[in-house]
Amino acid sequence: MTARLERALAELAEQMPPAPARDDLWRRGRRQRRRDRLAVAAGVAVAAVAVLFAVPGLLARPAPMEVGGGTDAVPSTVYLPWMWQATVRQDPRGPASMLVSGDSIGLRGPDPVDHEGKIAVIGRDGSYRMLLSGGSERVAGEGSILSPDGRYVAQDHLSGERDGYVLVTDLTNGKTKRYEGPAGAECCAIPVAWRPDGGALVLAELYRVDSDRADPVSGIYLQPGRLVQLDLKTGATRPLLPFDNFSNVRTASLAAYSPDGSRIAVAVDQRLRLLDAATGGTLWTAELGERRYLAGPGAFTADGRRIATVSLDGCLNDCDTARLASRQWRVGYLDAGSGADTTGPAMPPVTAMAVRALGWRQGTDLVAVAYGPEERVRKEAASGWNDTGFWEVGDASLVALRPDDTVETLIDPPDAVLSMDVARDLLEAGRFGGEAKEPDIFPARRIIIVPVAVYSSPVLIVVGGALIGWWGWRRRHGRR
Amino acid sequence: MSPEESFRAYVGGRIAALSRVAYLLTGDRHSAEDLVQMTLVRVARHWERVIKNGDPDGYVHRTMYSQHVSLWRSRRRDARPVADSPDRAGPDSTAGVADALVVRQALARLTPKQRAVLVLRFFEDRTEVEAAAVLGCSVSTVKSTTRDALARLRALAPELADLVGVGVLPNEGGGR
Repeated sequence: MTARLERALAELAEQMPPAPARDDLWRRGRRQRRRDRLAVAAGVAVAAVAVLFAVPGLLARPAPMEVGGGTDAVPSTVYLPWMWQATVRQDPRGPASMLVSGDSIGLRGPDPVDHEGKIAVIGRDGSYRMLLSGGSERVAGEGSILSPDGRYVAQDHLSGERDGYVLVTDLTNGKTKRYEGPAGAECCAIPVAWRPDGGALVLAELYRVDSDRADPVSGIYLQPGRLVQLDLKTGATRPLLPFDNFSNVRTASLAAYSPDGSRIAVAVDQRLRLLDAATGGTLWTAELGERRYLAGPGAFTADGRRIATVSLDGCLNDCDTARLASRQWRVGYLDAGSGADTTGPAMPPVTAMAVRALGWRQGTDLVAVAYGPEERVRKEAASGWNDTGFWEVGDASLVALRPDDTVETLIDPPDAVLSMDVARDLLEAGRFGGEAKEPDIFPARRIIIVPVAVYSSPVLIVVGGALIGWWGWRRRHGRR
Repeated sequence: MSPEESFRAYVGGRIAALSRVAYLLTGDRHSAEDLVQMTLVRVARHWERVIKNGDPDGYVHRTMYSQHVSLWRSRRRDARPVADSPDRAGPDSTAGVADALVVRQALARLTPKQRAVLVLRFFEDRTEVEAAAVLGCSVSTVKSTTRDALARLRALAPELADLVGVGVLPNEGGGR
């Protein structure tokens, strides 16, 4: 029976004439082989590049550090972050040692391709993560401020978050809490200073006003109208002080908490007021004059008995770049109890366009950011000038003024760094000179596609052109 | 002899036999020609490696059977159900040509793998072990597929009962 099936199949098969043996079988097969090899080579190359970029970042990635780790330190230097550096929300790395802002492509992106406002958060593990906001440049320490323990950043705006009166980002989990202002106000307040225990903020509340400086797109101009204290635990707000004349508000030296958080020194209209933080009442007022300012958010001495001021020797108005750069600042003191001038540790003068005191290292050295002027910048009277503003500053460094009459440079970052803020706990403990790590390439934001496309396109064009030419030549002189 | 020359020599000598197998697998001439072309192009890609191990027939047949399944998969979207042939021929145990016609119609209703097993076993006269090697499956799969294919032939065309046996399957229970 099987033999009959076999015979039937053989009979059936005999009905098929030989298929034509086409001449190009060999050539087609070899062409497919070349394509296969090219595909494999491309796959291997892509995999190799991915491994090259990804593996070091993954291997070098330590676990997030816990709050208050005993070996944390402010790094000895600062590097510029990558344009595509991951955000805090994308990959939170825990508490930070400092915040950095500037005008490199990693610190300021072109809207609308990237975010114009970028703050680099340097973690206590050495990582670099970003806080992004579109529409305007950011300045670390003014508007984006780091909590004393390095765990939180307060800011008035953050991309991807609904606007609020103020936003506070937890660096350990990347989540942002939104606070309302007085009477449920949902806009807008600039953070000025953290209470030393991290439980409250002083904010400069903004009003919408008509101005020829309004944003050309939104038509809105926001102007600080008053200082407000926000209790972060309860969300309660307390108005502290209205600004009668905003042009006399100097953002670098607006307010400073006393070490115990019970008093707030506020400098407005060439006067320094000491406020009771609990009631908002004024304890005393001191006249500063036009050349003397509150030293910064770290102006209170460690014992809380004095308030540091800085006085300008040099050009006040109508200053060119050279004269701005040669300004000198002398440290003076007011008695915290009375507001009267008093003596204190003698500090060396600092040569800089501006200084902003952040706090006292081990109770003896005044740590400050020293700002240099931007190239070809010029200060003119009544020009809306800001001594520490994004457009006025050309470089910044972190210095320590010591009673032995020396100025120690703690961090001398690249010129593209225009401002810094340092966690108060590390500053007061004197933990500087820690290991500085360069930012990892990964993890990245999706915008990494843009530089990859830009940098790889010439190579792809050259390689693609060569391949097309080679295939064309093969076709014309094709082998049999 | 260069690789290209040896390939052309092999094609010249074997294309008739390959065409016949392809015809049994596909059931029509055009598909058979396509299958042969695809198989040989694919073989040409790795010809040096194919001939390195001696006789290329094993590799070529394995390629043809796997291509046959791929081809069938790519075309099955356009497949139409095969209606019962109104002029189905009646059994004629003495006419070889009539047997071939009936077998062709019945083969068209089998799955590609069932057709492949029958062609390997009853046309190419391969053992179950060899068929399993060509198809890349186990011997038991070859056995069960053969059994299913013959049972389906009997169900679809009772007139083939004489060819494929009734009740007892040919070679059931062991390889040759």
